[in-house]
Amino acid sequence: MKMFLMGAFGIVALASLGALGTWQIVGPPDRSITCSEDLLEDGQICLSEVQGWDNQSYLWVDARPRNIWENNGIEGSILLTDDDAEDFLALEEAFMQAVYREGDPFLRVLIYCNEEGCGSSKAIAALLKEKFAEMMGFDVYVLYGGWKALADAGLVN
Amino acid sequence: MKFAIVLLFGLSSLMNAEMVFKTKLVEITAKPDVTEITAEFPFEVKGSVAEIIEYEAPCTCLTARVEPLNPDRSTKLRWDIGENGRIFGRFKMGNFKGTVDKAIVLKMKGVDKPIQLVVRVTIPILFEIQPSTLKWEIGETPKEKTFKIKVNHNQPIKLIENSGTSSNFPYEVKTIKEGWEYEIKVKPSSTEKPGMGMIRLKTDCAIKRHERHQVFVVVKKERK
Repeated sequence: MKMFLMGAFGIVALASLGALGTWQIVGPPDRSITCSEDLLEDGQICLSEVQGWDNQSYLWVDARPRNIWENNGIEGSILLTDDDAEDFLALEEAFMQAVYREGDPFLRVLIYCNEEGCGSSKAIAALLKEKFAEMMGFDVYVLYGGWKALADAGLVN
Repeated sequence: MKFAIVLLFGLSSLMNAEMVFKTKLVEITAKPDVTEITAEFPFEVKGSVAEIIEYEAPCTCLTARVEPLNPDRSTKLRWDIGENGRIFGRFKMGNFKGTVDKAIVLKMKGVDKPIQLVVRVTIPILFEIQPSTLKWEIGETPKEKTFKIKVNHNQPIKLIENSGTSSNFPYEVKTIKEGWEYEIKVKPSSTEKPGMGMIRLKTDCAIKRHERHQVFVVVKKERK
């Protein structure tokens, strides 16, 4: 019994040392957002695909609270959040002014939130699809990985 | 020897942490005047010890709590096998109407993929306007188009104020049945140039979320 426990303890200790060594040499585990077609839910899109588009064809919408958007939202983005503190009708008006673009509306609207767990971007996407997308002629997408995907790509900091 | 047993037991428990939920989706249909709703996600710890390293609701409208608390009223994050608890979510009904999904995210020690608990709330649309936007293409005949309004409530909601933001979009509000059905007819003065306007509407609805509304009218380039 004693031998067995000693052996098991030795294996765990060696595995831990190995993991520590790997960390030291290779660095910490890669926690960046990895996106692929099979991970996407309906209406989601990978940043890599967005990066292949003409950047004049889309408008970024930030679905996070105002203070966070002001701190590190992507350049050119519009705030459209379900935060209780906001006057949603005023935000909606600002969004429409932006997406309308003097009569030549953007083709695409891209929404991001904090991370995948954030339901705000999906809720905003559903609202935009229902109310405006067809009439204004734009498609709506939710960015897979949210703001973190933008940060990993160095587009925000 | 005792130390080794404890250490081995501790290490193996972290590797097998499992918090089993009865459901990870709670669906709620809210009453029109409710400002806040709550959802519960009961769980049991199976396999071995489960330890929450982070729990969050990535939305200002949803707050999460782990229950029951420790005897000293602090949040209980380490759960032993066989223990039962619940994740409690409080959802503030903000600006939204329709169906909304909000998630509570639990990050567990020794588990890569966070647990997502979803609260799906359906918020009734009492003052329904179809469509939300009327559009004309540049050069299109400036013919009249209509917003249709229907009240989906157990009591009437009257349209008491309206105002337009653009003189290029004159409009007329027509009462079909006071408190229940209206139409707003819009006929642009010209469709030669792009232009956008809004019509703001105020009702006598006592529920603040349903009191004010707005619709958009646009003249835009044709999409090829």
